[in-house]
Amino acid sequence: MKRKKVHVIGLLAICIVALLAVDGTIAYPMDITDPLANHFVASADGLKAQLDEPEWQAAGATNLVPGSVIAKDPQITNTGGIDEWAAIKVTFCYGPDAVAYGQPLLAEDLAIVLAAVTIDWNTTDWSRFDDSLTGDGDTSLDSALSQTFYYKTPVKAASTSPLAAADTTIPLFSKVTIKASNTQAQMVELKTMGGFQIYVEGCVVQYAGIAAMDLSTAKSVFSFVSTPA
Amino acid sequence: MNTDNLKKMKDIVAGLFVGKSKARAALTALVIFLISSAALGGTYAYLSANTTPAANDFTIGIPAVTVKEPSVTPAAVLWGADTKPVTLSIPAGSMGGAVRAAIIPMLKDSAGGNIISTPTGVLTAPTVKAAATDATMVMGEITLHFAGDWETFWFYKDGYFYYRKVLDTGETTPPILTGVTLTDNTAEMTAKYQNIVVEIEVMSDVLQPTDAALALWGVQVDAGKNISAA
Repeated sequence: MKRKKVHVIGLLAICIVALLAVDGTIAYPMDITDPLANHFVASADGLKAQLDEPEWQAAGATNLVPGSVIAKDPQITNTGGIDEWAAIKVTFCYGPDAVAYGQPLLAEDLAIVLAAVTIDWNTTDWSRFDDSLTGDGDTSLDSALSQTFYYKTPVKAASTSPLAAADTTIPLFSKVTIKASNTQAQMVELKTMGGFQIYVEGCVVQYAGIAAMDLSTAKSVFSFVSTPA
Repeated sequence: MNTDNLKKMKDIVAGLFVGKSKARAALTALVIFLISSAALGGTYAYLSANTTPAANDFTIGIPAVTVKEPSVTPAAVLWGADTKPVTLSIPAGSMGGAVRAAIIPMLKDSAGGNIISTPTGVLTAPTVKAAATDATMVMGEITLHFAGDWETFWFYKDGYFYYRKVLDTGETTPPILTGVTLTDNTAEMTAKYQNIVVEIEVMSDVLQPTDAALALWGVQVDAGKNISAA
């Protein structure tokens, strides 16, 4: 009986040592070898990305009427030295003629915009996901104020990556259309609210360690830091 | 460390107190492994970065057109071929487009302002008569006068005068109507119209300059912003 107690105490001691070793706070006798210095460098250029809209022309988005088509093609380019996963968040805000310019649309005005506007979301290459941990609501819905998408394939670093992938994503969408069926009343409502703004932000995470991107992974790894509030 | 892992560890630790020595040794190793892996799993983080955001504005244009009569007091217009110049304008802050105007003369009694009748005749394109310098549209006892070169800027279709160019914000058309006279300028007619007010109703419309919209009017627009009958 006494021997069993000693054994149990020994096991618990091992466990405690293991825990403390993980935390790295315990000191114990050891032999010291010559130091071996390992330098872990993520990349010469690190994890970087750039959000572009090559087709966007600001002048083309003024004096919009039913049937207007505005080219807008948000895409992310890997400008760093390591492969990455990419995501984009789109938020609908008030336009330049509104007092609340740049602030998120209120629910009633969001409904007006979404009823009058069509966006050709590219859901072949991008997947909607919910990043509502940030408090924006269910961003996986096409009726949401903020909508988030992750790119289904990794975006490779420009020069050195062995990945069979492009270094720029296919655009999340290519155009915004003011529906030709909009009535005069709808257009007046859009005008009265001061127009609208589409706010786009991108986020990338390292490819290493994430073999495949899915809804739950995207929710846990992507974080958008400049969403209008 | 999640709840399931914690429970498993508790079960394993409990097993240490009841098992045989070989089993205890194996379980000891397992405990160490689980504790280590759980601790590592809770601290791993992925490297991430954010892009510079892009905020794009979309503004709505509401077309509007106004009728202007430069140098004219609407309540006291003199009879004459050039006393009532009528133009169309796109006010500042509004969006331009294709514009058109219909001109409807009405006769009212001077006392009560009630409509007595409308002049007889057919609304049709004005014509330049021989020896005349302007174009006219005869509506029974009333004649409407237009600039002699009105067709340079307008075309007539289905009762409307269509301006041949898209009218942009702040722009004004040349006059479409220039004046009103009695068709027969006789003493008898002058006396008849002493107590009659001739009111010229000018109704104007503006429409966004896209073919899809202009199909409503049966007209079209080209790349040079020229409007023509479809």
